[in-house]
Amino acid sequence: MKASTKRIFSLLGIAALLVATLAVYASLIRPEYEIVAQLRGVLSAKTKLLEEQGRVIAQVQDLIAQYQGAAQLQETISLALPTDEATASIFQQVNAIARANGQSTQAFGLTALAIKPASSDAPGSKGLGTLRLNFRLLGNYGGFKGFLKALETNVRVMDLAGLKMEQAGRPNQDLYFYNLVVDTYYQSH
Amino acid sequence: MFSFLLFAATVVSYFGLSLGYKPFLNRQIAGKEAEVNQLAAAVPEAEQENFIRFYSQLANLEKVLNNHVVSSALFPFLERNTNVQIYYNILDFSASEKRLTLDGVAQNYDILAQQLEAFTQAKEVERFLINESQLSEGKIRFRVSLFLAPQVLR
Repeated sequence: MKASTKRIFSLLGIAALLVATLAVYASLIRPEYEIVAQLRGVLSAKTKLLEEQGRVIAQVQDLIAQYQGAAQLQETISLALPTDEATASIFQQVNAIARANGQSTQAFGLTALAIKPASSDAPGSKGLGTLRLNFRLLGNYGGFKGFLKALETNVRVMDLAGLKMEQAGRPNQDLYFYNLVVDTYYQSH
Repeated sequence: MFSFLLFAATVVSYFGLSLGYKPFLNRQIAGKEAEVNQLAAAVPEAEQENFIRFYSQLANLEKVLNNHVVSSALFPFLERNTNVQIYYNILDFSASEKRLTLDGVAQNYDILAQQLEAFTQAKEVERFLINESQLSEGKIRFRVSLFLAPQVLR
């Protein structure tokens, strides 16, 4: 074989190898590299998520440890804002306050109002339920002032929404009817 | 020779990527996912639930206490600002409107005017309306609506 023919074959072989190299690169390596690049992105995101989750979990565990140490506080808060309606205790509390201040309960009713959305943005937060009490008392003026004071400082939070006070006896007699509308609250489930 | 080496390197790169690096990355990702799942299980669900309930209670209680109505302030305000020659028959109070409507009796119109002046001067009253007044059995029967300043009930 002539040297020139050998050179031609050699050049053709080189060209074929270069073409094959390009073909392998374009059809195999590039798609594979794109997949690998995606996987690296996913791995980086997962690593970051793991670090953040680790920090969050550590904070949550710390908070839970503090909260478990505050059991007494939770009990007190549950008296002010129970986690259910606890309607029986409302009647007992109002009646006890009325009696302690010389007022007699003439009528008592209770309505549940619409639940207000949660005050916190935290996921899983509970809404705020309102119970509206309508009741009528009979008693003297001084005692009623004491009743109102005791109602607003009662351990279960109660807010006066409305009051109508009318003479019950003779014009100069210290005896009145009091129609009250009072809101009290609970945390919805 | 160079083109053969280049081709060989390309083929080796492909197998390195598909059989070596890609499975390695997949194993790493699976490992991270398992660690994330383990972390989530580090706080038991019951504890999470209790904590969220407690946290919600605190947030809700803060909201309730920020709007707490101190209604007992109404009567000292009335006692301070009512003329001794006036008495009230009916008191009607609405906390949402901060409105206090009084049906009363005054000895005469001079006394009623003094009473209205007292309401004008009282810092607890934002404004008031005299709904009606009429002479009846020698006395003035009137109805007045007081609109209270928000701080009176706080």
